Amino acid sequence: MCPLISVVDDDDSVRESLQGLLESIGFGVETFSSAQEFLDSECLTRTDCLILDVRMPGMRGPDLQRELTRRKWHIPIVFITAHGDEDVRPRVLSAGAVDCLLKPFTEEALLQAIRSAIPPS
Amino acid sequence: MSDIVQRSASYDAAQDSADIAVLGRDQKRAEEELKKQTAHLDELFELAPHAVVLVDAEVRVIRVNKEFTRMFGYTQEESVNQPLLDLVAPEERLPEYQNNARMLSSGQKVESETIRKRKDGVRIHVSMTASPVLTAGPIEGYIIYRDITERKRDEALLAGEKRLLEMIAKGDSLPRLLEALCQLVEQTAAGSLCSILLVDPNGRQLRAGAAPSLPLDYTQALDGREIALGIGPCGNALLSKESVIASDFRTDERWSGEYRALALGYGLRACWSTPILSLEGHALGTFALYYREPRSPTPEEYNVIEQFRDIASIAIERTQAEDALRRSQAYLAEAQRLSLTGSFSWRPATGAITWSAETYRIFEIDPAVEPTLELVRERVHPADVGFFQQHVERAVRDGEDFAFEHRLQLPDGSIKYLQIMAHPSRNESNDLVEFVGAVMDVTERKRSEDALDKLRLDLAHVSRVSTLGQMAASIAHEINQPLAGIVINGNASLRWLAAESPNLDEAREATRRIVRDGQRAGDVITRLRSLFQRRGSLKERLGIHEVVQEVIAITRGDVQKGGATIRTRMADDLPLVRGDRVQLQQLMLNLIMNAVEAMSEVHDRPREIVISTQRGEGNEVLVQVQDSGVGLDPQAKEKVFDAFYTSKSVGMGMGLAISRSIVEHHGGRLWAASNDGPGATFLFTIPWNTDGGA
Repeated sequence: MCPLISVVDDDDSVRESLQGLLESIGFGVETFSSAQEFLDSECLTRTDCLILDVRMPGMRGPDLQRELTRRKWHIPIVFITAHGDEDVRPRVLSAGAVDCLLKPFTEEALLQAIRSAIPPS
Repeated sequence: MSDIVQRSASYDAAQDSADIAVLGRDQKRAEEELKKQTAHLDELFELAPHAVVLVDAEVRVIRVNKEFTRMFGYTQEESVNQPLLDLVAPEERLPEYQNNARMLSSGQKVESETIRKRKDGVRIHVSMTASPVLTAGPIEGYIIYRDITERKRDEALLAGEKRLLEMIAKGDSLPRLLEALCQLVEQTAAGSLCSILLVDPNGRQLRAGAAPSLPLDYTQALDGREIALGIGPCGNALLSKESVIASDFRTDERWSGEYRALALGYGLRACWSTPILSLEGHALGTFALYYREPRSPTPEEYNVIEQFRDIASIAIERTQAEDALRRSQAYLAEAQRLSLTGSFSWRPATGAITWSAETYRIFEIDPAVEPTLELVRERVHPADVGFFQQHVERAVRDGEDFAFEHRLQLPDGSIKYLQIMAHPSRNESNDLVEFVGAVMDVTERKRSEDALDKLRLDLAHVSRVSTLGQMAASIAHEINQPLAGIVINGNASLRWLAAESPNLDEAREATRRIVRDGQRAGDVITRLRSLFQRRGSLKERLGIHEVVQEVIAITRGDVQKGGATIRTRMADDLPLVRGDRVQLQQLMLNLIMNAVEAMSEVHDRPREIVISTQRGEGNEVLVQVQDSGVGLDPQAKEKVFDAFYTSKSVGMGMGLAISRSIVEHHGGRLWAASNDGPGATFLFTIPWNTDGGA
């Protein structure tokens, strides 16, 4: 069974393009346009890696990270952001994120982060 | 002739017997005549309006007339055979002997003025004429006295008054003046003790003024008392503003027991008090005469009181006015010192200048030095001298209010910023007499303004930088999203195509998304551009003159700061243009500030901006802004309108670029031209018959 990657991003382009790319690689992909939508979904328990946007309307990426930690759901998270916020990266990394990528990122950087999140079995 | 002689001889003979009878009759008639004459002389002697006394060689009285008995108080009987010298006041005895000796020895009439003592001891002033009676018998003499006491008193009063008025004019202190006044009054009104009390500035209390002969304790007891009825004649006089006569404190019920005990305790029996009023009728104090015996004033004494009360009023009012003047001068000097504002007067016709103490301090010139325009010019900052001179010349020429700022450069090299303002005063024929004005040292204000300007600039820079940073971040976010999509989709597309069996549908779908995201990024850029190019509406119909005047008004300070002046030459009847007021103001502001900056390095000629308007070719208004600055490099004439082009060390070089874009937005043109003389002119046109350009 192929690993499931969930993508949470309010931007349609990013969501759709990531779904296309990750599926072309062979991952199972589910996309959500908000953090709440992800929390409410049944995917929560099946997700092997979460690709999570930092800035979103409503609950933001780091908020979702904290909520998952609180619920003790240890899902590896790769943060992506279009903002060059200097202070976000160290914050989310110290809270346990696998990586924090600045959009537009290379395919190589993304795949390396996913590999760290889901070690080949 | 012989006929007469003959007739006479016969007549003589006939006459002899008859003559004897006639002789007896004539003698009798002569005796009667003598008796009659003596009676007349007696009557004349008795009724003479002056005191007349006949004395013998030892100056004993032989006879006195009625007026003598009235004047000196001695009867005939008391006088006769008495030595006349008993009448003489002791201090006058010696001159009197000398007088008599002179009269008797010379046989000549002697006139003099002297003092005599009446029987009751009162001294009177007399003018005296002594004349010897030259007969064969023992030497006798007549002495005639005229009472000149009143004249003497009037003369003394007049002299005293003159002395007091001189003291007032000389500015003697009030206590000295009042004291002298009291002394004079006491000399004039025998037996009186004169007192002057003043009303405290609060108007409620009595204050000691002068009372040289009253007991000090009595005066001190009155000092500081609340003005009220019954506290003494002076209190009543102040409240009623009428004279109050207390003839005898012992019988007068008007006064409180305490006051009566006080006055009687010091042996004071009577007091006549009269209020001293200012010209406006305010009570200044009281003028009072005390006596140690019960007394009422005679009409003459009333006159004297009124006379001295008026002098006291002049003295008090004058001193109070001088005090007020001195106080207000002191306040003014203090205010000038505190506000660093000096005052000056300047008569252009004579060049005469006067300065207040603070003006001397501001210019740092010794107050002993007489200020001149040349002296001022020497202290004016070299860069401001031309500008200063222009204002001086204009003031002389126009004779109108002026105000400007300039710098001083003091001998130690320090700089001061001054604000000058002045107002002309004119005579009846409307000729300029002098300017009266103020000099403010605004150096401190200037320094804080400069510091504030710098702070504002720094802040503007910080805010610009942070705005730019925020804007950059927001632009980055907007662009990075589709860029991320494009990159990821590109990668996906490559993967679908690189598979052993390429998935063309997926690749096409990814490519379609690339196109879509590319367009989306383009849209972001378009939106940004429209954000920056927000344009105002051109609906308002406005007069270009108004715009020019409004901007001149708001740039006045900057223009003056730049040492420049603005002159306008406006065409009449220009049509209204359609435009955006704020944008056109921005345009004028840019052009004026550009002109000021272009002249900042000019020191050899006036820094003048001339703004003129006229109808241009076709249906447009032409506006020119001409400066006398450094002028334009011919090659730079077009470049100056490029964004970020600048020849200056400060500024971004956006002003003229923005100006051109504003003019073009209004459908007009903006260009630059070199002047025939120094400087450059910027010209622009705005059409007036269209709805605007864009």
